[in-house]
Amino acid sequence: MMKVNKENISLSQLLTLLINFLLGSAIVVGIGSNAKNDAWLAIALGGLIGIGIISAYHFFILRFPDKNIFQVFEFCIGRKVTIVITFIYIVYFLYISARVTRDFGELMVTAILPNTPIEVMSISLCLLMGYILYLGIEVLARTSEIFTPYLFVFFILLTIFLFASGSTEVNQIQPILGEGIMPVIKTAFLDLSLFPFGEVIAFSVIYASLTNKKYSLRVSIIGVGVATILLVVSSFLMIVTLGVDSVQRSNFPLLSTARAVSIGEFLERIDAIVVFIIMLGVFIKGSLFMYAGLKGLEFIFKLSYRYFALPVSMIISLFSVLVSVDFADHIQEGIKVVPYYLHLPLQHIVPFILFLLVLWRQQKGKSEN
Amino acid sequence: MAPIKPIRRLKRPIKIEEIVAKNEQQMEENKEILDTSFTHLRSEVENAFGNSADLRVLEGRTADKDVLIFYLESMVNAKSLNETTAKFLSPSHVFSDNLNTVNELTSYCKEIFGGASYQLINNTDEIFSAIINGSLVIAMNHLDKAISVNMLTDEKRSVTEPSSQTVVRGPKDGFIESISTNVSLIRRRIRNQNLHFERYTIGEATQTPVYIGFVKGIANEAILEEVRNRIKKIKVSAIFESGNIEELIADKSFTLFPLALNTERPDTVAGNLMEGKIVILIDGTPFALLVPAVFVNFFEMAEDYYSSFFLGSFIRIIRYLSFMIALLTPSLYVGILTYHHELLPTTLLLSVIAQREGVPFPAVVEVLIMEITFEILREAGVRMPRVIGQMVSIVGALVIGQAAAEAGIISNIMIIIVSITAIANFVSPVYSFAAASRLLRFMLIIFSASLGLYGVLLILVAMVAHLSSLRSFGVPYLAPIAPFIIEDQKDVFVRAPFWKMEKRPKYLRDESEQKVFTSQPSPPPMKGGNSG
Amino acid sequence: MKFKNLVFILVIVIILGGCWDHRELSEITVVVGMAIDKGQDNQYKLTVEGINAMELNSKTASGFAPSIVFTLEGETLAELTRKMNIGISKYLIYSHMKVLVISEEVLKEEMIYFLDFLERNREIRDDFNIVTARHVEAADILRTTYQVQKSSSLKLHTQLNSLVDSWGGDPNIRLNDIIQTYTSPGKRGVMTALTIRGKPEKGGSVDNMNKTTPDAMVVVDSLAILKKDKLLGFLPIKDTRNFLWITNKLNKTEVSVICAKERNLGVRVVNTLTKTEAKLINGRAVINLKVRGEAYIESAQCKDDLTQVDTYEKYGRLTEKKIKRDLEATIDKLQQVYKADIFGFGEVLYRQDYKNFKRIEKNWDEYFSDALVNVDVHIKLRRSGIRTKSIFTEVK
Repeated sequence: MMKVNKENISLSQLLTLLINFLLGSAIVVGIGSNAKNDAWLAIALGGLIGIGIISAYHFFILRFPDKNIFQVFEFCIGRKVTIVITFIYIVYFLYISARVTRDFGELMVTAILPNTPIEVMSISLCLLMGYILYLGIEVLARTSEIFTPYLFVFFILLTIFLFASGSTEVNQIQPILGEGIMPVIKTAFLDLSLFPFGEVIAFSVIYASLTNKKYSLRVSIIGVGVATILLVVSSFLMIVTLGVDSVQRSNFPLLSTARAVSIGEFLERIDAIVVFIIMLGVFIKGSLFMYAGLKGLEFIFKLSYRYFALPVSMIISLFSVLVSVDFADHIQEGIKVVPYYLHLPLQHIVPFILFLLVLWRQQKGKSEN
Repeated sequence: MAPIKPIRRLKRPIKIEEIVAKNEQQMEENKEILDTSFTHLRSEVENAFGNSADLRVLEGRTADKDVLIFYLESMVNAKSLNETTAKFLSPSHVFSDNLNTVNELTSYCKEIFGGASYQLINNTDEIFSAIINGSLVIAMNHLDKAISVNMLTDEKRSVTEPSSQTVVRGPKDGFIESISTNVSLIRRRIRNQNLHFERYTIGEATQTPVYIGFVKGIANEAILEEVRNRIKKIKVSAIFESGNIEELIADKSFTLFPLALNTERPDTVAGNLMEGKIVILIDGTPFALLVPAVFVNFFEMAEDYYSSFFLGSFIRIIRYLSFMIALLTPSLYVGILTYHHELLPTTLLLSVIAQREGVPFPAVVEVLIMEITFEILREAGVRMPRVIGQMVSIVGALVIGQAAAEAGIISNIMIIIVSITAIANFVSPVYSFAAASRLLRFMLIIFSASLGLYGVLLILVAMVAHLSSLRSFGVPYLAPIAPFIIEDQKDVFVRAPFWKMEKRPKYLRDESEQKVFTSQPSPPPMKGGNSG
Repeated sequence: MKFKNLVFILVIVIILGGCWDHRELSEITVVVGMAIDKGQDNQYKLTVEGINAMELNSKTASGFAPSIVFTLEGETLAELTRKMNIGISKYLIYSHMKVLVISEEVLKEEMIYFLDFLERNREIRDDFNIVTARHVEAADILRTTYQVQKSSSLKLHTQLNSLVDSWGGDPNIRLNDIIQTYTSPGKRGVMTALTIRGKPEKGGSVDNMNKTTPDAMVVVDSLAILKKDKLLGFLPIKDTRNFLWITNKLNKTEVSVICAKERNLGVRVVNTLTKTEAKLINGRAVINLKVRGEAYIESAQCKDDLTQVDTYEKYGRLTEKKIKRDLEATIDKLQQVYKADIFGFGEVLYRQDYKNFKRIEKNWDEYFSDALVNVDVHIKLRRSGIRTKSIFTEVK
């Protein structure tokens, strides 16, 4: 019964995972607001950076086609040091997973079920994530594959509904680049390269399970590209519907945008439905981070990650509640602490050093031969 | 031979092993050369069959030798019985110096039975099984072998229209309980020597014939081998219906969704065989099993392919829609009415409030009362004698509903919800699949009542995850959708025109998919998991 | 195994302990309208109209009042909305609110602090009409019953929409519009003002619904002009139409054009489009309005022969002139009398000439009243109903 078959993820599954992952919590809290009116431009630029980031990870991880990031670490610096670094990464991944869960919990409790304790949201969502990872990453990938078409349908419908209900004023997008290009560049490089695009570091554990590695780079780039387009569209919709000012004052801008839909006397107040579609992205993002963390545990303890799935999901649900005392705390932590103390070193600096080490090791290996 | 165990045994295979061991022991004992002394043989057979009322033992004489004939009256065909005995015992055929050795007996039989239908028997055990299978067993005092002549009665009902999967346009014949008729119904549709049937006997006690049918060259060898293995592995004492087999060979039994497609229609079987599926026929039931079965197969029906592809596609989409309606309507009703009032347009909300004014129960109780009432009525409608059953049909449910609504116990809108759910549920072409939405519905209602639409979505996602984790003979259950196979989309949500469907489904033939097969798919490694 | 049991127990706990937000339909009253007046002892006086759903359904109606209107005084709306059960039996839900009436007094005294509550509240949507009550208490607007929709708020919601569709007398103001005028320097707010024709004290009874001409009826009175939260004044309703026209929100309207002495044309204008361009030239704002539209003649009292192209052209020119005059008059009034840019010219400038606008942002009101506004109207007459010549053409 202990026979664990190798799990396979197809290219289309990778694509949908990437899209859902990048939309995930980014679409809940809204991104690029520092660029004000030009948030959508900043996101587009951020998307280009994202493509660069994923290509870099891809280039680096696929030097070892069957290894995930932890195994690459092991190759470079030996198992003992790797365990320490892996442990840091596990904490990081699980922490982000908890934050994502918290984002969603806050959204639900604020907008849909105000009297329900946030603990219930966390536990139920985490149980679901745990259950799915217990069934395996394949199942997560297929689930994401099934729900992704609905995501697109939702986006298209939301766009149509917003324009049809006349809540949009396209010229609110003007002035374009009123403050010059600097805010856009600043936002793209300082904020968006870390969140959400830098977070694709979680995919460094996924690539090993990919069946078809020939086109994986192309698919990864397409995935980031499509996600960027969706994020740009959503940012655009927010601005033309609510106006920049309202967007910046909203905790959950997409939710506020969806509230503006009103067609006839029939299609109104559909924000509850929107929330549930947002949930899919959040849940896939949370699961992927959790999976990355579980893979780390698998690496350390040499036990199938499925053993850890449910217990770890409970840990995540606990920490998603404990991670911050109130909403302002949660957001501030997300803006001021996490990007610079966690995202930047773990997404960019450590992998970069690692990359240099890999090159060095491989060079050395060659010269020795 | 052990007496036939009640079907309950199926659930406790360990005890069956004891019986098997016992049987084997007996067989060992019976290995010696057949003792054909009449008194001994006669008492042995009579004891074995417990002097069963339908066991007939005849004594006769031919070529100056005594002959003992056994058969089960209930299993043999009276007409051929007469012919055979007449021929065998007829003086014109017999010379007094004949039938002294086994060889002479063989040539004698060749002459009068013309070849295939007789068999030589070496031991008592074979005698028993021959008698059971409807053969006439002829023993002669001086020979150490007996002859069995097959004359199984073809007592069966005639081929009629299937009762559960009817079509407006298309063939009207359905399988019956006789396996040989069923095979002929299939073979008549696929007149090709590559259509092979393999015979297995399942059920230690019942000795039920089971055929595996496939078209060689089309059916996937890996899947076929898997089917053979699983059929061989079955160790139970009794098999009466395809449902027994289905449960025993399923990749995972802890699921509401059927992992094999059952059908009463020979044309469905023929079509699926040509797609590369494998059919399992069981004697004694008109239901055949088709494996591997994937989720989308349960929305397909033979008639989709007989009507124009526009209509076929439309009806198929209607089926998917009905599945969603049957699954979700009651829970959405509860969720929206108790948690998300804002989703309803004002006028509708006011109208519903006005209707529900004075209804004493919470929405969830109201839904549960009505759904359970309906399930009771439905079951009653099926089980009641035909004549009475007609009255207690859906109409009965509606009448009760109406009365309940007028009495103010439930609201009018509830009747609409229950009716639409029920009607949508009947749309499903395969009965066992409809059961999934029937049962999941209650789970959804309960979650919807405690967490609103969020609860509904939680269960839906869990359901999809569960479906993704299922496999039918190694083929992912959600196959052409997830993993997404673009070539196979021609026959999923729409039915493409025939000139577009040149290739058989990829999920049944793709090599890369087969690589991930495991003999019994390994469940997640949790200790003591009750799945798999 | 133990863990599985634990998960099972957890699920059961969630299910059984659930229902935190559970609210049966029989426990709620739907609020369709809110009215805010100045309180006597406290800051605000909030009136809500809760629907008696039984009365709106023709099968269950038994002739009682269609809604309950209840008033409370307090400091914040947030508290008041939750305190309404002092008088009303069922839990109130606000998600289906159709109308918010703010009294003249509240606007005059700059007291719209409650906007934040409305924006922040998760239940209240941005799909209700915001209006003000002129000459009467806001609460009285909600009390006045009406034959068709019965409830005053439902009636108003339908009425204002119909008015926008047929003639364009309501700016169709939503919460977000008001909030934007708050946060944007280049736009001032407007609001439809309602009043009661008849005797307000008689409006609040079922009897009022039983008369062909009700004793009290809520009618659209005028357009209130706001500067941030301060009420500047009221414009007559024809200016509302012009306002909609200038801001490109007009669907259809009807214009009466003088074509001869004491003779008028009735021109139905459809498919209008207004484009606004704004520039800052030599320290003066220049605004170019281009109004385009199609029209057809609905009534012609003059003698001109409507089979002739010339007549179409002539009438077209007359219509254009008339519209241009009307629009200019409205703009003029706002530039000279109120100095309030309700048209959002400032915003157009902000979008089209961002850097210059940033400089003059603070003094936009002065720049607006000084602005040069060019109105260019082009209307194309297309057809003339199911008759060609007017009956008066033949009269010699």
